[in-house]
Amino acid sequence: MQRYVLWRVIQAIIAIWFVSVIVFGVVRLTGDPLCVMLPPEATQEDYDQMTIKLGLDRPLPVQYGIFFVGVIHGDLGDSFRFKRPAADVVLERLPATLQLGVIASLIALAIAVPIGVYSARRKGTLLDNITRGFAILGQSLPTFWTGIILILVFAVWLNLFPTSGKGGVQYFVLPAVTMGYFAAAGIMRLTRSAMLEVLDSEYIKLARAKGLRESVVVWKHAFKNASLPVLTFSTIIFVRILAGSVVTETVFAWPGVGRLVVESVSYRDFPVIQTVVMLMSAMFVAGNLVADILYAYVNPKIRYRK
Amino acid sequence: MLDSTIKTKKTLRQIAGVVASLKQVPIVPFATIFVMMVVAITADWIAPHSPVEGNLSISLLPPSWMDGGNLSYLLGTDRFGRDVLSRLIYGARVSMSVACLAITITAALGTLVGLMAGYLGGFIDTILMRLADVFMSFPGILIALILAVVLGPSFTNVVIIVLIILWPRFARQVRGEALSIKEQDFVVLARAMGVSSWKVMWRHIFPNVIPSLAVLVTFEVGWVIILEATLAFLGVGIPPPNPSWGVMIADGRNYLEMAWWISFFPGVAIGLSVFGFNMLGDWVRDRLDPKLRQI
Repeated sequence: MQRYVLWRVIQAIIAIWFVSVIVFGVVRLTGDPLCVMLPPEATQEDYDQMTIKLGLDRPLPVQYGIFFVGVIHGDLGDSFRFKRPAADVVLERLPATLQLGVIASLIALAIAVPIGVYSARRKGTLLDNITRGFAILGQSLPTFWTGIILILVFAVWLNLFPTSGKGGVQYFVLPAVTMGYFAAAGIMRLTRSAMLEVLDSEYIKLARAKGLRESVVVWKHAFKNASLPVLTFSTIIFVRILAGSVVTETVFAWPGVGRLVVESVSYRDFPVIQTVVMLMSAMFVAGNLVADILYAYVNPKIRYRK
Repeated sequence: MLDSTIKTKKTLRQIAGVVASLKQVPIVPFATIFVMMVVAITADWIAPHSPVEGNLSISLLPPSWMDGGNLSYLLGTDRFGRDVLSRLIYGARVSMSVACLAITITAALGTLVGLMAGYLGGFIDTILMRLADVFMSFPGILIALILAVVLGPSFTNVVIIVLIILWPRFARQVRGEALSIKEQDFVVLARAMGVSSWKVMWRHIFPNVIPSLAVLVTFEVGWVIILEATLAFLGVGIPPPNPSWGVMIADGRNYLEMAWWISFFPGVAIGLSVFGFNMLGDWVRDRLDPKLRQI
């Protein structure tokens, strides 16, 4: 188990390092940031000065070296657009994204778990197919469209929720439902198959034979055991929701990291893009790592393999 | 004589088996995908108007069943007076061709990598799979966005982005299968008879990974359609004036209150196609590969 965990952690670190190389390389190819930053009437001298100031005149490996040493010290350069440390700019926006991500994950669970449990118990019935279809439909609709339609119906027509921006509880509802509904299908499938497996086992038959109430059998005996893989998978869903915030935040004008990166792309704000991608990748890798370790912990077959 | 009777009986039973399995075929997903494909192919003939040329005098016309609608513009027009239905029809062509091309290339490359890693093993396996792990640890949509900006908006680049993000999934799946298949007697025998590595991979191992490959392909097609639409929506996908569904939704966003139909119908088209592929994927998986049901 310890060797497995250690090996997975090393893999995760290599992955994040590789992300930094790719991000650095790719972002340098997106175009010249100075064209956007400097006014059109800027002279060649202004241009050269700025190039030197930002370190864009040095060879790429040197630029990467500076970047990498900076990353280790938590310094990812100054944002070209805000003229402040990129890390600060991104971290300011992070809470909004995390809050939305947590609530969206809870909504995904609230949609997926009851449907998964229900459709496992009533496998093959019409309602099983309908509820499952509802969950899979969520995965089939792009979040930017669901978001726009929710805005149209609940904000514009019914005037129940604000169209966009961030504020009190009512501002969370539409974006969180948009993201949660999209993520629900995966959890639903897992819950359903886990429940199917558990409901088929001997101890459930015994519990039923003892004459326990069906709700006690299903929720206390069966779901308790089926919920482990579901909870493990939820960490993966959470980081996927965070990555997906790029789209949802753009639609809802949510002041989070996702929207920041879309804006930064058009400003060619390298340091901010790098920081966001590094941060998101790190969270993505960490989420997968936690899921793998949790999974290994509950599954002896993996725990004892190495 | 006896031999041929047995053969006939066997064939009959096989046919009966195929017929029985056809009865369980999900009609709706198949029909949806079939219609989308037909629409994509015949767009030139069935579209009532040009998808790119508009007439400003009839801009923001509502669907024909609403007040002020015009029967010749069934689903209304957008802000440039372009027919929404015609754009939707040509959008199917964009979406389906990107999806089919991207998934074919990705599956081919992923399978090749997976077969080599699984069958040849050793150093090649380690390198290829570590590479796959790294590629899989990127948050897909974010990388797609940045690549799209770097490469610029074009049809080819969307295909390249899909390839970069998706190949590891195919490679890992195929490698896993290849690992267990290569231990089986028929492969060991073929190798013992001196069949070349390439031939073993192609003739003996590849046919056996096709079922799980089919499952993966059906599922990922839906994802590719959504990714294409998302990039188009963010303005970095298939460039205008091509009528991509994602572009149409973005176009209609600013006219939501007065002309909801511009954004609404393309979303329905995306939803129907992806739903079709997802349902089909669920069905193919249940039929071909019970092991995978958990994912």
